[in-house]
Amino acid sequence: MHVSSGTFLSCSVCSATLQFKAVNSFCLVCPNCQALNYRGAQQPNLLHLQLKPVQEDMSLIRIGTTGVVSDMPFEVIGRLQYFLRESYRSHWFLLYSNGSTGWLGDWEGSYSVFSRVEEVRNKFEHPVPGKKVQIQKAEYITERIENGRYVAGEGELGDFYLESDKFLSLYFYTTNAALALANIFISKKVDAFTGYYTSSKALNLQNLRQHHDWV
Amino acid sequence: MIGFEVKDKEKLPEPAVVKCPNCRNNITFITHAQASFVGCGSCHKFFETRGSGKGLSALKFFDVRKQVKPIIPIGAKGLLKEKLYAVVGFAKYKEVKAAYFWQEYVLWSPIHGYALLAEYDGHWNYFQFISDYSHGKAHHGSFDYNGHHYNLYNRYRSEVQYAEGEFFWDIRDDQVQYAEYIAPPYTITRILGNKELSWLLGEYIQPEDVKAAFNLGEDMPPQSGIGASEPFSTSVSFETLKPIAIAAACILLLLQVLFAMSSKEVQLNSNSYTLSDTGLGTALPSMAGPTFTLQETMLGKSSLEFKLQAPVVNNWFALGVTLVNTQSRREYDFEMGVEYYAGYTDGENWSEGSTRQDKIISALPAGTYHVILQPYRENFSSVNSFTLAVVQDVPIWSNFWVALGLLITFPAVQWFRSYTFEKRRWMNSDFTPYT
Repeated sequence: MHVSSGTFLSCSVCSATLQFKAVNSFCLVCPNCQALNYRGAQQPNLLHLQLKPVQEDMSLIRIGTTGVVSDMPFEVIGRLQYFLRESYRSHWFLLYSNGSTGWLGDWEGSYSVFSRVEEVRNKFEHPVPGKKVQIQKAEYITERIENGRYVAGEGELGDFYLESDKFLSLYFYTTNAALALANIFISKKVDAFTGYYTSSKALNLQNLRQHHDWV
Repeated sequence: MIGFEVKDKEKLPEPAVVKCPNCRNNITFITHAQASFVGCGSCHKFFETRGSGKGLSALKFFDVRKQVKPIIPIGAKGLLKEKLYAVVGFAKYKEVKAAYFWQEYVLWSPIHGYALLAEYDGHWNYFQFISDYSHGKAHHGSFDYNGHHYNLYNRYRSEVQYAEGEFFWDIRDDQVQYAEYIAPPYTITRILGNKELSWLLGEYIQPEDVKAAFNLGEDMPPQSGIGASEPFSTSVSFETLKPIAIAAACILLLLQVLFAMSSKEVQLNSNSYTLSDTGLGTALPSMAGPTFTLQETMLGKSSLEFKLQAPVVNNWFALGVTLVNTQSRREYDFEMGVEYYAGYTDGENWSEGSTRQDKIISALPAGTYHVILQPYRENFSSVNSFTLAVVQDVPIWSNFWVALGLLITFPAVQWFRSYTFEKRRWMNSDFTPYT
């Protein structure tokens, strides 16, 4: 059954009442049991049906935070939290004022805006730091190679791929502030993103978590 | 993994406290789930927070003999570079193939992310990660970044001897290679490991600034030698002075040329004088010289050039000159002299000295002057006459040379100091340009 934005649905696991906010959301994490509830026929490849609850990573952003990307206002409506062996990433899911969606990266004090892209796995084979890789017709430098530990989530989420906690996560960048990310799974499937680094000031983030002790 | 559940979505929480599985003392997590690794400050054990089991997974003990007490306590907050940071981690490093030790403080802010504060031999550097520069894995001797020229200073691998607090990377990885490039006060460090290529931009910080930022009561470690990125001087370096001195010298030269071109060089008098034969000893009877009037000039005062010529051959002649201002009665005394010697020795003709001498008297006020001359000559000298000419408003080059000398002196001193400073800085480097 296709679920429209605004309509209520019951969690497929615990029957809690849930509601999609965005038409383009792919799935929704039940706050009660962490089960992923998909939009009817759109659920083709997410094998991991329950995510871990999000962890306290001291991010200033939360669901409900608003901001602007390229003059387009947005609201944060969900989050994926990737915990890797030596780092972590928060991918905040954005609902723009025109109904479109996107991702906002937030880790280790850096902010970025990116979207999912289709890429083939062989581009990412034999990763080595410093190696140059063509992604979406742009040349990126391999920055970091990480092993996945676990993935947590909350709220509504966009299109992403996750088959298990075991994956290789690759970070790429260019010297003009572009970035790319790729999660490589055992099944050889690739979840890739491209975008660019930005700043909290440029994003004009509002409705943040209180952080008076840090100002 | 250990649970850092989100308790309050409205505001950032206080630090989390977890019991050390080894010694049961509290370990504080300021960054909460950001910390991938943590060192217990009590029992010196190092843990992974996202290991396979639940809770902290022990990785290693640090040798207590290598423990160093951090000068800035873990948890201390400080305003550095206008950013409020907390110290969340501390590590003592050693270069793998050399007995060089340094300390690093991991700084963290929920607004600004991570930064590092490194201390070596009392010299401090503040580092931030950058992503707008990379030359990959290639070995470069130098490169330019943000208008500064960076030169390779050091390449090394490091090992951690002690660590406590929170870390977002595995500090035990001793396969990481570091390359440090300096453009004082800046440093760019390339970190190249099997799983990472990243770049840090560092800036030299005075110890007093660190002390003030974190409100430290203890004395800072004494400084030894020249820091790799220690600036020579922030205000009066040679590089700062060089363009100023060149500009000032050009202006000085231009002014001098203008003054020289505007000089009228008016001859006031030119007389030949016959000397009396009656003088006893070397002093001859004094005689009246010319009388002349100096007109008011553009600069208020005049310069006079006295040109003396006497037919001296293998002897000397001297002339005492006294100018008497007829209005103020003020006197101006000076002496001039000529000597000339010539001969034939060992098959060669030689000569030294001159039969002429010019002397400039500067800054004479306008007015009428009498000149009194007091000639001297050698006993039994054949000199019986001399010529004296007086020229007004002549260009004075001596002042120019003195001013130019003074102008060059300070930059020259600063250049020399800078040269010796740089030479000392590079003494600790295998890539020194000074041989």
